[in-house]
Amino acid sequence: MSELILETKELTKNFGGLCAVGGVDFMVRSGEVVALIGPNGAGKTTFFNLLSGVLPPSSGRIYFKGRDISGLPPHRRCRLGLSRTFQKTSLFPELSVFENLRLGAEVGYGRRNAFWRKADRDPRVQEVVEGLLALVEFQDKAQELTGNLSHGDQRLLEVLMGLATRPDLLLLDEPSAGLSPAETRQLTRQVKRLSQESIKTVIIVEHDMEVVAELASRICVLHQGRILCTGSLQEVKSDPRVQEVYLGRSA
Amino acid sequence: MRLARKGGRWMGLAVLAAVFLAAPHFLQPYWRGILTEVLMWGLFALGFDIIFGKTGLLNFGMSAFIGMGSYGYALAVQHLGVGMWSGLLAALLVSLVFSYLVGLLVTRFGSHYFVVFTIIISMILFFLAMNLRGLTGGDMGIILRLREFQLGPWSFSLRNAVAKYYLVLGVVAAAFYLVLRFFDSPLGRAIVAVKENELRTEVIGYDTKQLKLISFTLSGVVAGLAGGLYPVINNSTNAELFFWFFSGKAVLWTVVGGAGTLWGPFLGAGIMVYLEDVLSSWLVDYYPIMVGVLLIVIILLAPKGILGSLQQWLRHQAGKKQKGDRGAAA
Repeated sequence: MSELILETKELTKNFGGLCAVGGVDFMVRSGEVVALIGPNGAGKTTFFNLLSGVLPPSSGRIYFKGRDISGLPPHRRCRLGLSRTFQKTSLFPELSVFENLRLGAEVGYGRRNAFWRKADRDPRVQEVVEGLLALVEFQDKAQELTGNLSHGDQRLLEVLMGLATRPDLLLLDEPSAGLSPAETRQLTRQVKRLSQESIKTVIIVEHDMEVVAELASRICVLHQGRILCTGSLQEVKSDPRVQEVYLGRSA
Repeated sequence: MRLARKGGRWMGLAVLAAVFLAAPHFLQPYWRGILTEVLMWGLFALGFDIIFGKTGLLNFGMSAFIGMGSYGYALAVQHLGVGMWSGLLAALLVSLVFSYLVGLLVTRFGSHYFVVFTIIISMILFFLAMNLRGLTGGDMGIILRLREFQLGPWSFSLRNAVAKYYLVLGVVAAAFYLVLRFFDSPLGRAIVAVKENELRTEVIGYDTKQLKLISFTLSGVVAGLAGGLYPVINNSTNAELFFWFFSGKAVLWTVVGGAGTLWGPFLGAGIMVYLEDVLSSWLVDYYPIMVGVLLIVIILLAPKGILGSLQQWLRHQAGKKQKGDRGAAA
């Protein structure tokens, strides 16, 4: 069994009286691809916001590579190797595609604090960005403004941004959101290849069951801020509690 | 293609340098004086462009920094008896410490509070400077006795307008070059990323609070250096430099020239100081109205300022051409 990369203990987030995430104990081992599913409002995105540090937890702890990161700001978590993407595309629209990725790669591979050298002259960073662009055949789009890309291309770039910082654990928040079935299949292929080639540990929030079936080795169902059950796709599908949540009591 | 563009850029720079180096010899003394001041005002507006155009924070209290810089210079020269260069160093140090401390306070606030706080701080300083007459001279200011400066083995008089022009040009050009270089570095580019999308910048591993503080401090130091040049040019300084009126000018010049372009503040300062000079001589009462109309026209026709809109148009043209080329190839 490979080592534990992420663990949460009694992780809780309350918004006023609303309990968005309630005492979640969750763990991920190195090399796993875990899918996080659940109906709308189950607390999936809040859970990601807690893991990445965008929101502070109300209580509970988060351990990453054995280290307690519960109080660290997002940039510190990213530098430790925890990276995320957003359900609602969040890029730098006025900057080129290349510059978007360079900003990320500078953190993972370059010298982000250098103020005397030219940003476009770091061969290591250039190489990394070109490698990322080649992954999705974006070479001829490198100089385009990100805001001018199609929605599908922006979703792909969103995933690449998650990879640019050299993460050990990647949190993908609904990468297929708003994509056509064909684009979703393409994206799924890319993510699968990425996770296999660079042996990244991935947690993916996804509504599309085909994507989940294709990518995830383990599935975790979240409901009303709590983990309902965990297991393989078959196990989860046949669990009566999951059927109740998704289809209602009558089914 | 890229080489040609690079060659063009060097040509442009060479022409620009030649014009500015030759300017004092073909300009009348009056316009030479105006140009010397425009360089200083441009540097002041550049400080504003760093925090507003590059970082996205509206600092409406820039007058605080030019005031601190000018008094840093004037007090060091008057009370410590130092020369011109040490005076400028004092202006830099005073504005560095001041803008860092203010930055620690204000960069914690959200954008609306940030604007209000910067105004308040500059207003407090204005009232302090007006009332601490023993130290600042109030609106009468301080008149300096320093008449000479050294450059290597040579000594120049500050009464020599040509020498003064070259001195100001040298200081402004050096500072401008360093700022341009900075925004080409990984750290400088990260500051631009904060303006574009703060959350994403934070999540990909940048300490955005620290970046805002760095930018705020740099902005204050650049404006403070311009403040140091003010008494060099005028042989005096006064408390009115702290008045919000000058903050407003930095905003106006930068918006007219093109926020975020770094060159725009100089262009904007040049145009507006020139217009002010020409128009106010025969339209004293209407001048503020003219400025208002001009601002409306700029915002409607070229919301990114003169240089920003030009840049956008050029990029648009280049994109069209590229598409045309691709179409022809296919």
